Amino acid sequence: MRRAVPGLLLVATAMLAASPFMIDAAPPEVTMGLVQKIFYVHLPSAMLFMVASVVCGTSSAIYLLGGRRLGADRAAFTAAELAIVFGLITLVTGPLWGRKAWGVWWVWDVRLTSTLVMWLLSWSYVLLRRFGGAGSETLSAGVGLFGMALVPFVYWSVNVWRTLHPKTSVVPTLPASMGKPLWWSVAAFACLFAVLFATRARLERLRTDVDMALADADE
Amino acid sequence: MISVLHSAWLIAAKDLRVEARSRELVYTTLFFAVTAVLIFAFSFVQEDSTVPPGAASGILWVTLTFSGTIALTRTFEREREHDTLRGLLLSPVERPAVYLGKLFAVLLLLAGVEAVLVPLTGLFFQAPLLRAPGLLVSLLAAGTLGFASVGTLFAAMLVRARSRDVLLPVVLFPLVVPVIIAGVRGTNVIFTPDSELAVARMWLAMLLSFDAVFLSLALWTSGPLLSE
Amino acid sequence: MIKRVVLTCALLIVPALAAAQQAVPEGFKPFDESATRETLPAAPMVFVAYSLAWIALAFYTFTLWRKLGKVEQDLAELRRLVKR
Repeated sequence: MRRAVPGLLLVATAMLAASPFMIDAAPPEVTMGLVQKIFYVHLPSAMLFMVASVVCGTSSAIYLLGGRRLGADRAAFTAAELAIVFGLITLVTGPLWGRKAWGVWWVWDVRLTSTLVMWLLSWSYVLLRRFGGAGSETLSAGVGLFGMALVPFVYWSVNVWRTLHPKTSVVPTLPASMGKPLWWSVAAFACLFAVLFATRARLERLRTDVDMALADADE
Repeated sequence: MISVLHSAWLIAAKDLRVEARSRELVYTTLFFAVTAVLIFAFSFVQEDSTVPPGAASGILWVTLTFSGTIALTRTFEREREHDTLRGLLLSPVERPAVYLGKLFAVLLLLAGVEAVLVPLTGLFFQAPLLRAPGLLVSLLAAGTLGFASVGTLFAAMLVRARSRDVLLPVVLFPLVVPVIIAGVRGTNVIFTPDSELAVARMWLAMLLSFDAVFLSLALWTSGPLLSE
Repeated sequence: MIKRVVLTCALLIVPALAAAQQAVPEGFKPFDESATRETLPAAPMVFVAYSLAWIALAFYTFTLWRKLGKVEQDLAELRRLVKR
């Protein structure tokens, strides 16, 4: 994986550098015009936020119920941090788009609210790890596991409460001229996600190594 | 199975006996709840004594959430002060029993708080409490159970952690969002004079399924999570 | 372990994609130049959105790189100490 990182980073950078040209080449959308271009950043971020949350929840479950493997704990922590980063991008680009497209900065519809709640949960995971002291690996794994179980309930309760975010599926009907930059952006972001994930996890592993080397040096 | 329930009852009885002697938790939590409602009254009751629609149910559940968090923190802080939690965990009692015992004690405490809080909220915010009393009680019970089932587990886990006072709300509040939504919306339906009670029953069903899922999850993970 | 997790991440893109099918507003149609413009200027929103996304990712990557460099330095130094 370590050897793959520089390569992936190069691919990600190249793709991200090319993406503005691809996005510009796509025709502007009829009702929303220029502001719809935010979609090419908003949707990949939202997808990767979901991926990161799922990875965090699954790794937490593996850690708790599968023998406390450090690798699982590292994966969960890294995924939680990445969920915060990509969630932030999603929650900022979304309202910027919404302000122009819908006229309001924020609406309490199911997708926005669920994303906000899950984003806050990733924060509670990270805050618990940072400020919880010793033994917080287990606690945060509990948060991750419960968080994953929570998703359908948040969705259900907010959905019954209100709905505005249009539900119909549009990606299949997306004209090819808009599809290409979208999938390009998704792929570019996904490469970046992989790079960030591998690097962050490696940082955690090295920190553990430093602690152990310190312990050796004391002897 | 029976032994788990029996052990849980013994643990809960111990807590209730301790509480009956000092009554510390009951008095302090109740007082907190009453003053919180008072502050809400100052914030939301208008100059002409009218109350914004939906205020009563919202205030009820917000106050419950905060009182519940304080009750949970205090319950386990007491265990930590006397280092009795380790004794509990070392005893030949299964983890789920410890969890259930604590949960039962917390539930009783919160029920006592609600017995005062609900009439008070009805009084201050002109809420028609007796419109559907059975449904209201069920909503409160199911919501409190949902809140307490997650809260007890995490409060117990946080006993050893640093910054545990603020970390409990940090961890708990996002996890109980569906409970709050369902509780407030369901209660609001009851408090709104001409609304359809079937909607409140739907929210009750949602609360009950949340309780079922999360109580089971908490019982299942209480072993791995409470092992330290 | 990390290799497997990253691979799983990559594979998880597929269900995420499937879920994201619903995440897009209805009726994307290419623009007709003769249609009237809206009053709120879109360009600043797009600019801010993209800048914020880049800044967030760049900042995170930068801090990560710096922390990694520092930890690797510490590790090399400690290993030298232990060997002695």
